[in-house]
Amino acid sequence: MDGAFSLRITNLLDEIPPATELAAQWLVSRGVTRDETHFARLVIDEVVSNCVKYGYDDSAEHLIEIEILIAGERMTIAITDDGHFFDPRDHPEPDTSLPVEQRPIGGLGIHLLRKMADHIEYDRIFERNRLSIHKSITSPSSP
Amino acid sequence: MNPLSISIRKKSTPFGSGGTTVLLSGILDRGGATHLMEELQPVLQSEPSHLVLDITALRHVNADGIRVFAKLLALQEHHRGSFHIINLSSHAEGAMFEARELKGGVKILQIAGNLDLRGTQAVEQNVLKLCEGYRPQLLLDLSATDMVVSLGIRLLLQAIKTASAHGGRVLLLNPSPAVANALEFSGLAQFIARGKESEVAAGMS
Repeated sequence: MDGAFSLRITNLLDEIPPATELAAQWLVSRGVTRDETHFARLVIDEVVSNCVKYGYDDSAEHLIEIEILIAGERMTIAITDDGHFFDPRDHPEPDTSLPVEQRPIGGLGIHLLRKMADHIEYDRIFERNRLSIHKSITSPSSP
Repeated sequence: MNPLSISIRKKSTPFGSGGTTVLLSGILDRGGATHLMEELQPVLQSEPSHLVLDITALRHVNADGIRVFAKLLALQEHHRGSFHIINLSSHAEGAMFEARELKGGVKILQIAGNLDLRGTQAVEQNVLKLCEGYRPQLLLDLSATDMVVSLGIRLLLQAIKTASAHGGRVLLLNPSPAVANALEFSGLAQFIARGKESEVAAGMS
């Protein structure tokens, strides 16, 4: 079932879990499968928490917008924030082949997104980051 | 977009009788958030019962709306199960866990739910505690884990490293295909074990 949904949260980690739950429930209501819904949760969790943790130097309130679009067999999740310039496509790949004892803890969020998404777009518009993550989905059915 | 529309249906929830389902449509902004809390006051002031928010027709939620949901989630937790906001909180507690000891001293911890931000925080201390001591042998049963984000992967990696530093071992038992994918992408494929817990445990001890 095609549709669009948007959420606007402030840059607080505590706001991420209810936001991901809302997004997930909206996707379920649109007939999107469990695994595809989990992918959306992963995207929101990774991108927004990254933005909240590293996007700002000040302690002011900032708005982060999450938009989800379902169109046919395509799901797009777009996240817009006014944090520092950050193009995840330029983020260095972690070396996942290192022995576990030598592996740094962390640095996997962007890597997971790149591996799981079909396509990632980034734009810097009016001092805002806009990250659009596209994923093919099975044709959503009516719930 | 349309302002928030609220329809309250008492004594009708997936939990059976005695609860309240609230259908929300339109936009949940500052005005909608105030409206929603006003409408829910009589419900929240009555004796604790199941509260279900149906957001199927909701089109937009802003930060004020999120705060209302966070407030309702806090109320739910405060009432310890007396309130359920199932459309928000089917995984509101994050991941659930249960630890047991198998023959040969191998411990097994089942993690059910989502290893997302909240779920990982919920299980982190328990997982890491089991990776300490003398040669810890731990099976993390991921068969009921729905999804994992990088914070969850980070916890699993830390558990593997901690156990290894103590001369022990951690294996990740029977993850779903989606979770296994994330583990493989993260370079943890070698720690995935498949099979019956007793057989995998026998191979560890």
